[in-house]
Parts: sequence; structure tokens; C-alpha cells
Amino acid sequence: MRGNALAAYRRRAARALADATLRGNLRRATDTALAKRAARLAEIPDYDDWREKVAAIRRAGWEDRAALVARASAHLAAAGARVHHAADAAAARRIVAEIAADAGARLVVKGKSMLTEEIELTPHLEALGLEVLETDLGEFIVQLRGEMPSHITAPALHLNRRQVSRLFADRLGAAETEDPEELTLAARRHLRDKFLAADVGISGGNFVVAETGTLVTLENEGNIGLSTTLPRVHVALTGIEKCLPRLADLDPVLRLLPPNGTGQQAVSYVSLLNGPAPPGCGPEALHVVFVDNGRSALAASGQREILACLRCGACLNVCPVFRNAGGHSYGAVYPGPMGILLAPYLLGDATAGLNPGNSLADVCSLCEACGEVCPAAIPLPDLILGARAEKERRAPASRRLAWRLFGRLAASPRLFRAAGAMMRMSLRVLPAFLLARLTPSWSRARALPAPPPRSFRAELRRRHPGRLS
Amino acid sequence: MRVRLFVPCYVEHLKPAAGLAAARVLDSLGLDWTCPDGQGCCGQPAFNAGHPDEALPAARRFRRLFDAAEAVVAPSASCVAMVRRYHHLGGLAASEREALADLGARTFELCEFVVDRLGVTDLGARWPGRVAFQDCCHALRELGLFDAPRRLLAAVDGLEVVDQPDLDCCGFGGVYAVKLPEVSAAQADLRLDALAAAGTDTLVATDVSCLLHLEGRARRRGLPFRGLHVAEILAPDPAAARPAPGAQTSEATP
Repeated sequence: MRGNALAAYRRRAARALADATLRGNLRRATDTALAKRAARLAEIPDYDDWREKVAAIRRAGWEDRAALVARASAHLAAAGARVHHAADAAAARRIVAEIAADAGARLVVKGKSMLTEEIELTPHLEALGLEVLETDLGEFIVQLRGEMPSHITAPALHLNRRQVSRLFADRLGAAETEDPEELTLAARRHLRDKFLAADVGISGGNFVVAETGTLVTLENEGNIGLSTTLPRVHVALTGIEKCLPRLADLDPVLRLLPPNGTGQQAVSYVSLLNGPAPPGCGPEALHVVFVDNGRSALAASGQREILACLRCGACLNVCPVFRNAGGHSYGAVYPGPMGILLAPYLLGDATAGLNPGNSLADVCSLCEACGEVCPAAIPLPDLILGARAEKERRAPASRRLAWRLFGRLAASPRLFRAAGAMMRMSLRVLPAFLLARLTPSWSRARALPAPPPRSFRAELRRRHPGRLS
Repeated sequence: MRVRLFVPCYVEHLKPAAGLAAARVLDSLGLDWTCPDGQGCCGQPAFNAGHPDEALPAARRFRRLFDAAEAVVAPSASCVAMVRRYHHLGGLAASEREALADLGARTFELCEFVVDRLGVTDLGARWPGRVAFQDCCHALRELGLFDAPRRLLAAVDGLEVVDQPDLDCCGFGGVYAVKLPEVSAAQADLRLDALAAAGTDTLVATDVSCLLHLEGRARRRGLPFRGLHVAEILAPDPAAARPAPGAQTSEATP
């Protein structure tokens, strides 16, 4: 994403908005997600109390991250896991590549992990000659299509069954069908042999419990279980902000994450790994990689509270911008409100040119729905405004000057009156084509307002002069 | 009670009818109200565009104009939300901060003033016809405004309200409307679809800014549309001849 991030977004969004199939898919999928979420929340009467607990736990997760990571690492190492720390994406990729090389690996199977997308792990391993296979159904689908995921919990949300069926028919030789069970079976048939033949299994880590050194993975499909128990080596990657202080913290988190993420009461499988498997019972080695990759920089910024993110995706589902233009428009693996805040710090490498001064903080109509739904009570709207201010601090002087002048105008009665009068006169007097030329961003899609004959003040003076003061 | 009318900038210059209707509502309550001279813009565009410091002059001006009021009332949830944020702006002295926090607590959107502050839900209004009511985001989420406008509209004689809650943002978003016009227009279209489904061309809302955006989009698409501020239903202009419902013109602009 070289050049202006907003301009690139607008180009992609314009294409997405013209794609009726995509828009239908987005609407149906997000409407369903929101309906399920509402139904689940109705079953949790003390939801707000649980949300407060989750917010406090997640705040500790990023505030005390150094101490929590150290504790978790010590426990994991004592249990026999190999613990690594990667400062950035390149270091993380190198660590995983070395582990794979040491294992003489040829085939790698992966569970869904947004972190591995963030650090662009798969292309790196493939360039080294490894075959890397996504085993989460949604990730498997987008991998076949050569796309990045368009949503953080539902990677193929932008597609419908017919599109998936056609894809499987083309690439897997499967019979065309719109039955979701049959589509899933087609993927399973393809993947089953791969699980058995894989040398290395890679997973993320939804959370790591510091108190016990427990790696927590959450899934509905069983693919993480298979990926991380059948191959000889299991590598788990997790962000340094993912630590939960205590095992008991899983209770509030697991109460709120599934309803907000997938509209479930609970995910199908919650795996708690306290160390490597006993000999003969699973992989020969467990590696855990704690990755920073911009999280410390984010923690030092005004948007640090986004580090509490649970990666549920609720803010994407409720965001009107996401619901209309979809995840791919952002050009980043973290889209939507949380993506606006994470991407400039975590994806700077991956999406060249993206940084706090060139971010998508403007891709938001400030409706504040995201802040309402976040289960960790992250003040997303305020953080987006903060990110916008941070971006604008690096804006060209001309733009800062323009807003300085606006600020003066807004507070100067004479200038304000004059500007208003000029605007009304222009709307009255100038020909339509010229007005449209002068206000392209408004007039491309909307008519300009018809000017009233007089300002409010003038009207009040005529009708109720006694009310003026 | 010393009540001061705070006029949003776009009401001042583009939709004075909404301000006059708000004035009539205050009249009907028998309040001693005035409209201070020298008002400007609340500064929200700068704040929302990432230049919060440039809202400071507006904040200070607002305080000078309105500090003497016991209550400040505005026909705009969005502007009131901004006023309530003034005390968080950087660069204020502690005494300014305190004064602005206090003033923000005395500044109300019109419906919340009438219902929550004065305890009045029936203004004795009459407006026969069907309208749709849609929430504006800042009203809903910054001011927590949901019941007040609905209760006031429910008491209007002859009025049939098609309540349309749970809709996505209309896409105005202030500066957003011109920074991301394509997505903004797509969002507007969804609200207009909902309006059509309500079987009326008349949309009532608490914020004229959203209505101007939707009206502009509707006119460009040649759709019938009449956007009314809540006050225009609660205190219709006695002098105006009201067009029959559905008779609103919809000139497509070239």
C-alpha cells in the first residue's frame, strides 16, 4: 500500500461497492452474526458485569505484559517447551523457519492465526520450499483463492456457498453443491491426509495464562487439535499482549468471546496446553514464540487500549463501513475499527507505507457502534479520533492551517455570518454545474441543499425580535 | 428558568425552519428564552477531523455566550455532544475546564430538555400523517437519546410514526461525507431504502445534518423525500400551508 492509504482504500471500496454479490454476502453474513450475538447476549443478564471483568483482565494483559510474558515463559520452559521471543515479524519468521529446517520439514499444516497472517509467515516458508496448508475451512478457502482473509474470525465471509462450491470443483475436483456439510466434507477429505503427513503444525495462541504457563487455543472445527497433535513439531505463535494473569481469568473471557465472535454460547473446543505432550503421546517438541512486532510501540502510543482486543470481530460486524465495503477494501489483514488502530503499528512492514501518519483513521463515520459492542469495553470511537489526530499532526502545513482558519471562523461571529451569507448566496446564484465543480466530493453523489431565503437570525429578527439578546 | 437557544451552524444557514420550530416549542412551554447574538459553530468539524485544538476558540466563545444561562437548548444532538466534550479539550485552564463541564451538563438537545429536564411529554401538537423516525448516531450513542423523541412524537395528535431503530449510520459523519463519499452514499441509500419500506416520504430525526445528507442523496436519485426536524412536528409553523403527505417534489439535479 504505497502512497496515500485513504486513496488506496477508496479505490478498493469503490470496486467493492459495485460488486452486488459481495455486498449481498457481506450483509447476510454480518446481519446473521449480529442477530446471533443479540440472542446470546439476551441469555447473559449480568453481561455488563462480565464486560467490566474482561476489560480489567485485558488491561492487565497489556500493562503488565513484560512480567506476564516472563512468568508464562518460565512455566512453559520448566514444563519442557522451547520458548522464543521475537522482536518483529522478520525475527518471528526466522525462528519458525529454523524450527522447520531443524525438523527437516517439507509439509506444514496451520491452524487459523491472525498473528501468522500479520507477520506474513506462509509466503516466507513457501519461498524456502515448504508446502504450507491452511486447515481452518475459511482460511483454506482464501488460501485456494490466493486472497488474504477479509474478516478476523470469518476469513471467507465475503464469499457465498455457490462461490465456494465452484472453487472446490475447480481446485479439488469436488462435485458442485451448496450444502454446507458436503462442502465441509470435501475440504476434510483433502485435508485429512495432510494432517497425517505433516511434519510441523503451526498454531496461534488465543491466550496464554501467565500463572500456569498455559497456551489456550479456541476452535470450532478440530483442525487446531489435529494440526498440533499429529505432526512431530508444534509451533505456537502469540502476541505479547495475549497473556491473561490467572487461569480463572478464562471464565469471564470465554463467557464473552464466543457470543461476540461467532454468536455461540461456547466454542466447540477449548484446548489448554501446559507443556509438551509426554513422550509418544504427541509432538516431539512444543515451541512457543512470543511476538512483539509493534505492540510495544502501540503500548507507548495514545491508542494503547486497543491492545486489550480479544480478536472477536464484533466491531467489524457492526461497522457500517465494513458492512458496505468489506474487509478487503482496507488492504490489511486487520480490517474494520480494530484494524484501523492496529494496522499502522503491527502491519507497517506488511503494508508498506502504512504508519500512524498514513493510516485509515478517516475510514469511519463516527457512529460509535463499535465501542458499544466491544466485549473488552475498549473505547474504540475515542481511539479512532485519537488516531485521526495523530495522523493529522503529520499532515501537510496547508491542511493544518486550513483547520486553524476554520477554528477562528467558527468562533468569530462576523466571519461566521459572512461565510454563511456567502454560502447561501452562492447556492442561490451560481449555476448548478459550477456549484458541483466547486464541491466535487459532496456533489458527485448528492444534490446540494436548497438555500433558505434568510438565515435563522434574520428570520428571528423579523418574527420575534424580542427573543434576540 | 433562563433558557438560551443554541443554534447549530447548519440550522442557522441552511435550515432555519428547524430553529424556528424549536423556538415555537420553547414558546409553547411558556419559557423565558432568548437567543444570544454572536453564535458560531460548535467546532465539531475540526474536532472530528483530527484537529481538536482548533475547537478551543469555539469552546471559549460558547462559554462566553451561554455561561449565564440556566439551561442551553439546541435542536441538534451532535452539537450538544460536542459541547459536553469541551471540558476534555487540551489547553484549557483548570477553571475553564470546570466551567465548561458545568455548562455541558446544563446544555440539552431539545427532546431531552423537554422530556428529561422539564418532565413534559405532551406538547398538545397535531400533525396528521405518517412519518418514519430514525435515530441519529450521536443522539443515540453520545447522549443516550432514545425514549425522549419517541415519547414526544407518540403524543402528537393524528401522527402515525413508523419507528425504525437499529439502522446503520446514515453515512453523514461530518467530514466523512466528503472524505469517503462513495461509502457515505451507500450508507445513505440503505436509510432511504428503509424509508421507502416505511411507506412514507417523510423522515423525522433529531439532527438536521443527517437529514441534509439524506435529502441530497434522495434528490440526486430522484426519490421523494421530506426531512423534518422533530421540532417541526412538535410545533408546526402555523403560517405554512403543509403539502399533503407524499406530495414532496423530488427534482433530480442534472
